[in-house]
Amino acid sequence: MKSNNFTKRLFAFLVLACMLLTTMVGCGSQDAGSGSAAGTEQENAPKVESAADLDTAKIGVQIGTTGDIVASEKEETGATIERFQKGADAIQALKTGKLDCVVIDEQPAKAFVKNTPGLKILDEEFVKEDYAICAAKGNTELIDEVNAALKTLRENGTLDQIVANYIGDDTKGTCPYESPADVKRDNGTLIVATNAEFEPYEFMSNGKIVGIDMEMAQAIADIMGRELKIDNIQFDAIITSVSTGKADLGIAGMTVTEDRLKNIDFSDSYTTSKQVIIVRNEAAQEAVKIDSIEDLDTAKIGVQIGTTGDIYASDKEETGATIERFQKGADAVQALKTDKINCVVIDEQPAKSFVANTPGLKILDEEFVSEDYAICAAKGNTELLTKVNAALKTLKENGTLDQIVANYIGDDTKGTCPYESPADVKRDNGTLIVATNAEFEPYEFMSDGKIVGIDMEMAQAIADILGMDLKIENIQFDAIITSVSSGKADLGIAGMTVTEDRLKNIDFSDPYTTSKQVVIVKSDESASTGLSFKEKLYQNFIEENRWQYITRGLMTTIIIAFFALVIGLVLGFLIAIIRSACDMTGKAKVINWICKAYLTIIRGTPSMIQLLIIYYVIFASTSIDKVLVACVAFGLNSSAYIAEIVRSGIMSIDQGQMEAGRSLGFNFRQTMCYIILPQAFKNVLPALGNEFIVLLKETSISGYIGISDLTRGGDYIRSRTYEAFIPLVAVAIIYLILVMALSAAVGALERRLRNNEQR
Amino acid sequence: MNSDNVVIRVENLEKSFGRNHVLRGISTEIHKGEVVVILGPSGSGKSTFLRSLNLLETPSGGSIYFHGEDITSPNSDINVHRQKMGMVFQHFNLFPHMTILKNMTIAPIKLLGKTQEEAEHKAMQLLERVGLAEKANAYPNQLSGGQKQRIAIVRALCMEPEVLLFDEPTSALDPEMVEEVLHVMRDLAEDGMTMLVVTHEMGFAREVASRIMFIDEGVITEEGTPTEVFEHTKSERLKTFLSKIL
Repeated sequence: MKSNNFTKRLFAFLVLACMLLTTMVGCGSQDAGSGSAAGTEQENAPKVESAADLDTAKIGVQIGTTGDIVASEKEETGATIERFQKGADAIQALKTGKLDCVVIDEQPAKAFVKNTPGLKILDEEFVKEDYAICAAKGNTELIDEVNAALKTLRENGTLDQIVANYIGDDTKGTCPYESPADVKRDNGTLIVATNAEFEPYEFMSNGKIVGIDMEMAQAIADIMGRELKIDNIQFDAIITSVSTGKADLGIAGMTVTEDRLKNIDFSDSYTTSKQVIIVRNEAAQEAVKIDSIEDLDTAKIGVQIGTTGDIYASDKEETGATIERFQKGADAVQALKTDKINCVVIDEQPAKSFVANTPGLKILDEEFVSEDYAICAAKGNTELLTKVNAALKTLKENGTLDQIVANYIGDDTKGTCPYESPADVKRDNGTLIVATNAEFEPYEFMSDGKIVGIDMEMAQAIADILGMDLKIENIQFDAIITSVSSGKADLGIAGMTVTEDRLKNIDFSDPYTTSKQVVIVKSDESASTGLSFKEKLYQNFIEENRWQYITRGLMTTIIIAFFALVIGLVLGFLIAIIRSACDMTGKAKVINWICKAYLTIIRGTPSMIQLLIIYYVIFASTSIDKVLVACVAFGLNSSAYIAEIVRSGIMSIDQGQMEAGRSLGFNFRQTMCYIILPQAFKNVLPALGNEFIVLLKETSISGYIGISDLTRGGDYIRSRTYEAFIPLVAVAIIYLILVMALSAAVGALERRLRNNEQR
Repeated sequence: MNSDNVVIRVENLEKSFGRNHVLRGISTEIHKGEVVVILGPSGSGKSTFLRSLNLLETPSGGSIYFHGEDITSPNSDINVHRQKMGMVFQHFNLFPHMTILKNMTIAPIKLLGKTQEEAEHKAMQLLERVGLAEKANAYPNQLSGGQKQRIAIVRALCMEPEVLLFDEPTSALDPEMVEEVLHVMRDLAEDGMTMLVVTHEMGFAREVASRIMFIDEGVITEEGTPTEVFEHTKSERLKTFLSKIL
């Protein structure tokens, strides 16, 4: 029995592993594809230049449209068809390079191309077709009526007028259809099903459904003397809607096809359209290319949140630029690599590292802004700042600062002259806590599991002069100022520039170095072919012992999850017992009320906010261990959920059990411990197991207070290798394994408790 | 009778659930070795009366004296008194997560400070007495209803109580299992155990009871030996009740 179970589990795991591997390979090849799209032409990136090229292309269509039908014929010749619920989704996919082309009706195609830069319609048309109105099979009476109305509209020029109101540069918007004033609507309601995502035939404008088909439907309803009601549904649901009688007519730029005729009848055709092919316009892509600072005015700019790059780039928002703010510089560079943004504004030295490590990127020669880096301290802490300034002066004068910089910048000197603390230094003056964000090479970054960089060596040198122990706190960049001003750290050293806004909250030392903001863009040169999967694995895990980030993070994650679980269980059981005792006896209403308020607040606010509040507000200014803070925060959070789970378990136990216990002479607490809780625990174990899993995964946000947990470990690797896929997937797999182990443990406990009762 | 023999004295006991006035002033004395069978129509308050005696229901008025001590007073520790007042429930209320032996020994061990050996020895003796020794390591859901109720009785006996309260002990049983439980109760009565029994088993009442107490609408309307009550019934209510039940 047992081995059978084990085989089953092993099999499930293998299936999972296979799925993951397939994904990896799939993503790997896609990666190669997108890389080549940016560079020169390659065989595996087919370009569609004529209808003939469709035979082997990746074609996007809207599901159930004639575009879908005609494109589907190409599947035999090796084309891949991707079916989307909306035309707009297909266009989005084309834009991001997931498709080679989109086959869609001519008029909507024109609207899409007009609104989406970088796309064009192939001149060659694909298929000609007629649009008609559909009605339920056999409803000839209605069809005849519609045909008669269409004939009238065609003959009196109304139909032409409606089309002219939507198509044609001169006439657009000039001649909307208006119902005659004297129209009578005695013949009931005409329900028309449509799918308002097909400009110019039917689309949403100012919250209303408009378009050629809609005006025509109004005109037909006017002639028929009926009230018009539009039912906006999915395109592939229109035929069902009409054939089941939910709608009288379907008007949605529909072409007559044989398959459709089997289910519904069509009116005479009211207009002719064609299917066209939309492709990416290479020339248009050039247009957003950034060659100089001026081009930033309208570009999509990526920055790291809270940096001076963010501040300067934000000025460009007025001129039409879009700013995308990332937690990390590496994330911004990743986005640039995949064309999600046009450029990244960032400090010069990190920019150089990024470009050196990421093929296909370059730095614009023109610099953006020059700036000074300084050390920050809490507002009003002039005593410390004076000392730091004096220390900086000494370091500048005796050449130490130059030596440190030379150790990180400059090809000849790099790595040759690391700073070393004098042997005779005394550290009687306490600890100097320095907050930084170690993702800013060469100023501060992780290497071989340690935080190194210019700023870090300088911090050490300052601590040596001040006669203090140095402690580095590695947190998010936008959290450094909060950390310093709330007293969690004494100094902030993170390549920070003095700005007015920052001066409101903190004070700065004299500048210790000068830097500039530069712009990273994609270079014209083709990206190098990149590393193989095996080389990537080596780079991400073996090089510089990067696996250590994962293993250490894993330990931290397990520690936090375990102690949070203990806190959550103890507190949760306590609250559950108090709550049920109050409910049973009707006493101690105040305590019950406090418990309820606690549950409401904890369950009603995001755990990340709770974590930040506990770190910055509740434990502010005390040098308490961050892992402990996380244990408390997640423990408190979990306790609220566990409390309610356990309470439901207690409530599920028959009242007679409590009476039997009490009648033997046990007091309330003893009855709870010996009789009620053991049974309740067994009943709620599955729900508790679920909560444990949630808790374990929830700890992945502890990076927000600078804890190097498993998630953060993966982030460090990403910030060094500029590779998203492997670290993220590795971290995901480890969480998955942890959760599976946890589920197995809870399952085993459950079985043991159950066996106990029915041996 | 000698007042030294009074185990429980009830004075003017009242109990209300909201506006429902269930007990309207009950006064009586229970003497050592008495077997009192409490009769009464459904909703008359007989179960509430029994459950008030060990304060599973908190009285709204009146007093209950156990060996002369007022257990309704806030200074009295009810948990100590309950150890001496065993209770057997209609639905057995065995602890499903414990073996039979554990069901019986947990209270003596935790409350009387007995060693495990002592408690188990006593439990095994009792199990043998009710013919269930081989079930010592079984779990409650492996037993029949009659077996469960016999276990519930000996579980109460493990605490060596001075009084046993039976709240409709056979009402939830299949008919063929009633006798095995009544047999144990009869046995106990013969041993001189003081018992208060709420039941509809007239045969048991007639045969074993030393006193019948008829409760109707929250008061004791008739009281006496089985012969007095059954043969020379005074009140009309009791006559109607007996005619329906017999």
